[in-house]
Amino acid sequence: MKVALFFLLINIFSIVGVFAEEHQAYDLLITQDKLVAVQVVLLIILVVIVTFLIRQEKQIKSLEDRIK
Amino acid sequence: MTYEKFTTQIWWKAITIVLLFYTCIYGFIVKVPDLPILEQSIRNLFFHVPMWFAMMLLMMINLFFSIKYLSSNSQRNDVIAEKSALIGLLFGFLGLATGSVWAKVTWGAWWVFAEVKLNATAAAVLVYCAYFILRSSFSDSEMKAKFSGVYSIFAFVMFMVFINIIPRVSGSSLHPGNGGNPGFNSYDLDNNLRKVFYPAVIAWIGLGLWLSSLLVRIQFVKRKLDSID
Amino acid sequence: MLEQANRVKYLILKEAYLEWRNKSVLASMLLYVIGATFIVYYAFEGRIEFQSWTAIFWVIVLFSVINIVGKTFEKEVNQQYYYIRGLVSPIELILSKLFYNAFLVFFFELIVYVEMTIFFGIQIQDSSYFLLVLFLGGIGFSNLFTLFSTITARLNNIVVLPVLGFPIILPLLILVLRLTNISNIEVDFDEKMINIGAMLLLDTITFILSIILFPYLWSE
Repeated sequence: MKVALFFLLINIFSIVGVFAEEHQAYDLLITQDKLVAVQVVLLIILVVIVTFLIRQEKQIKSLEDRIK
Repeated sequence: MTYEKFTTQIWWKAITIVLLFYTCIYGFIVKVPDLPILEQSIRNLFFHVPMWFAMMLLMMINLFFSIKYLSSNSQRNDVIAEKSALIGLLFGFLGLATGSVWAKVTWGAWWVFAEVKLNATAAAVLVYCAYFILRSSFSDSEMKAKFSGVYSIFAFVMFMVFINIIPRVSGSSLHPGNGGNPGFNSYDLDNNLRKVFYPAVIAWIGLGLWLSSLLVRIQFVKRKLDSID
Repeated sequence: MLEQANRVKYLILKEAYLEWRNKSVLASMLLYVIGATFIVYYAFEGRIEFQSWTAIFWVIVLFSVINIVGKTFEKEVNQQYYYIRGLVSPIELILSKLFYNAFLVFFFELIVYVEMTIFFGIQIQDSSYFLLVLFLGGIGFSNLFTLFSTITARLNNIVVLPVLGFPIILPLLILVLRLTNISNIEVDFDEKMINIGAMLLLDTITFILSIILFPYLWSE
């Protein structure tokens, strides 16, 4: 689980890296409207991370309550 | 408010989620200043810089709880210190990764020797890797906590010296605000950027706290189940 | 206060006496240093640039320091722990070790310096300034590695020492390399003193940290 999260986070930032890269192949990403494509991928990953975190939070909460 | 009480609360996690989405949505829409080399890559400001802030904060938590462990001998403090350092290290790697791609665009290389801050942070990342190697080489948990606590206090102080004193003395850095380069405040960080930058800082710091506190709480539950404390 | 100073003095003397009686350790370290410089001499075929000279010099010093200082607490932690603990306070112990190691490191630095000068000729212009750099740098190195040698003594594993020490020693090393450069070029007096000041600051910080943190490592 932890490892998965790590790679997800790494993913986010490699995408940021891609759009920052001024290589010819990425030229299409530099223009303002193509930024949206990057953004969508970023948001999908973010949603995955946040749902993962919320699920973990709930699980731990119930565990803590049971132990108490 | 204690750490344990704070981490079970919901409100700041909600704020973190909201601000994370705000950063990732508005950060791409906001009109950025048209700077020659930076161009659109200046949006990396919302990702790269807050990574370091989050790392610094987590390392400070690590320092605080290491000191607390040495003065109180409660293993719980050591758990908090360890997990904070772990997530701090993660953010350190992310900071290096985002910084590296940014450097490739603006400075033309993945790694720049003349850049004191880059080398200092690489050293800091190495230091905290050594911290975990040290931890893994002890089998006795009390000794592990004590020795790694001492090590992390020493490491933090030297790290502060590194990033604060050495660049002043040797004075070569490509970062804004160093050695002749103008700081963010003077021209880079206009009001539009500020509107995303400060929330982004809070969002990433919140994410770091959330991740580390989850790990801490998992550990606490485990300890309770094993009836250690 | 005076009593404690006396005890520290006796601890240092004891250290020196033991070292002298068991000459093989000292002799092997000497040979290590001489052998290392000789290898470098052959590898460079007797000619060397100043920058390489600086790098080689400090690398040899760093590695010999690790070997010299790394076994500081071997006896204390394993065989004589309860005996020593009953006799002196941890502060007195660490003080004596710091002083003794600083002296030892400075001694070996001098030997490397003399060796390198014999093999490669005079490379440093301002040698009195460089000696000061050697002295202060040696103090910094010994402060740092003395504290960590407690950890490796407990672990019974000297291999961990470079892993722990190298990333942390980096600020010190950068400063020392810079000071070595300064001692070879013409700079005004203020510039020289500012850098010495930074060095002194680092020495003080590592010294204070060692003294504060050592009692935690020493107690069981």
